[in-house]
Amino acid sequence: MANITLNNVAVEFPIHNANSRSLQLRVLGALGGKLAGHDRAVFVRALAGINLDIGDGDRVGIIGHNGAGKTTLLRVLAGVYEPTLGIISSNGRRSSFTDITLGMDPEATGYDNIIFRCIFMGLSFEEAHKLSPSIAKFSELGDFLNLPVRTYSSGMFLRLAFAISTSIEPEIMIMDEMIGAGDASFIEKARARLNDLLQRAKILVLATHDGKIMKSLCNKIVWLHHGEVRQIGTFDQVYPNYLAAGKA
Amino acid sequence: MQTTLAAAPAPIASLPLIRLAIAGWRDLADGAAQWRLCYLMGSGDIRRRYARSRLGQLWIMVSSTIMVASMGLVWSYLWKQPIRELLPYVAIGMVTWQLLLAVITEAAVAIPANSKYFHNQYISASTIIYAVLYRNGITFLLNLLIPLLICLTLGVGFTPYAALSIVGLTLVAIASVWVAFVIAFLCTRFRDIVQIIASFLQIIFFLTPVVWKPEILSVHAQSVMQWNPFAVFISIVRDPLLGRPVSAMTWAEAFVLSFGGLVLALPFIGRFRRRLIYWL
Repeated sequence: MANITLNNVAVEFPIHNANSRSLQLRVLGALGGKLAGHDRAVFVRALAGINLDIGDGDRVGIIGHNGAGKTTLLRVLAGVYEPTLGIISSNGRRSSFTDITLGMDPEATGYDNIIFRCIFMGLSFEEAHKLSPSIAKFSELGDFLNLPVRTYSSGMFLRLAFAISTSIEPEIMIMDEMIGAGDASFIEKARARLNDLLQRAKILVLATHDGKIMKSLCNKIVWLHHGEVRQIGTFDQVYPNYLAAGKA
Repeated sequence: MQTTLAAAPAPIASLPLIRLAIAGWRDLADGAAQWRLCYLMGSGDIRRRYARSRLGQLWIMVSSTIMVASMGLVWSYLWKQPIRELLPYVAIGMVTWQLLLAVITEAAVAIPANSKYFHNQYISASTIIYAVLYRNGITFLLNLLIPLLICLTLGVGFTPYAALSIVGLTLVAIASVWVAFVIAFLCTRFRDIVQIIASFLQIIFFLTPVVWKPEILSVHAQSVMQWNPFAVFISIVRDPLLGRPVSAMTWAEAFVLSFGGLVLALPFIGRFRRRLIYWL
């Protein structure tokens, strides 16, 4: 049983750069320097009052304009941000596909990178080594896998990252835009593999601007607006309203 | 997205100390459970640093040989002490000092430097801290071979008493965990502290018996010196190896600093472990 529940969740980012992160201002403040307006920290409210119940079989699509809080919500769901208010509870292993190259090292060989990335995704060394040949085969990189990854073209690098990241079946899959890789022939193969993975994941949470993808994949659309949920429903219920709001 | 002026949100500030300590302990345990990551991150940093150089990781030992040998020779000349006596002392002291220095300065920048990991999945801060400790532990052990070789070449023998150095090193390791945590958190929140620490450590080096012996000080100055934690931790690693006595007071201080500090640091870690991501 996999689920994630958000209860009245809010996320506020303190803005530290120029003012409170610098000791200088604290010290000057203590010395009686003039710092009117600096004594209260500035916060950006990225999310507020989010209630969300995601269970087995849910395919959640998150839409909203730039800055609506999509990425922040994904990060809350992935366990990156602990909400500054409200409660999040979850069951099941959460796998984030927001950076599929995480843990890879350009100086190491392709084969080494397969192991590294697998470890980052939570496998043991044994499991990683067992999985390695099938990943190598899918990537179609052949002998290149014996070379340092920095010698790869960016397309080859992404192909390897994609092959590794899609080799483990996730329970809860969290994605910021669809991942994909490669040239014309590989892209078909990649799409089939990704679709297969999307089918088998117990839960999918996907943020995307692509209405077509959302329609085909998601059964529950969450429309974020200024960090708050504007509407939750099926694609046909929510998407037309979202488009209409954009035109107005 | 709205920009608002608001009081700092502090939902967990009211939790009692004990629960924070447990949360802190859980962070330490989470990192330990991720030992594979700690190992990969730690060894990856070493590998990248020496990638494409001909000597590779051997550079660690080459550069430390050069430093230790030149320092030992210069200082034995300056202090007019026989090389055979001062070189091993300076060599082991320098290598140990380098360990403390590296742990502190690397912990200070470790979390911002690894922010991409924190931003993409939940990762406990201790994973990064352990990676720093692992990397520097390995570097230290490689570096330590040089002074030991120097000792053997100069005919300085080791007695069974030298084994106490292992106890000393263990205490250094325990203290490193909490010191690295506290420094990493503070330096991520207040970026100026990185610079403050760097300057501070330069002064500490001269105030710590690394290239000079505490015996040259007056009795009064020596009694002040025993409150320098850097002197304490270097002493418990170096002095047993060289057959120099270590006072019971020094051992007591080391135990209190390492274990007591850890216990005190736990609530601090527990309080700020999930806050960390907002400082990146």
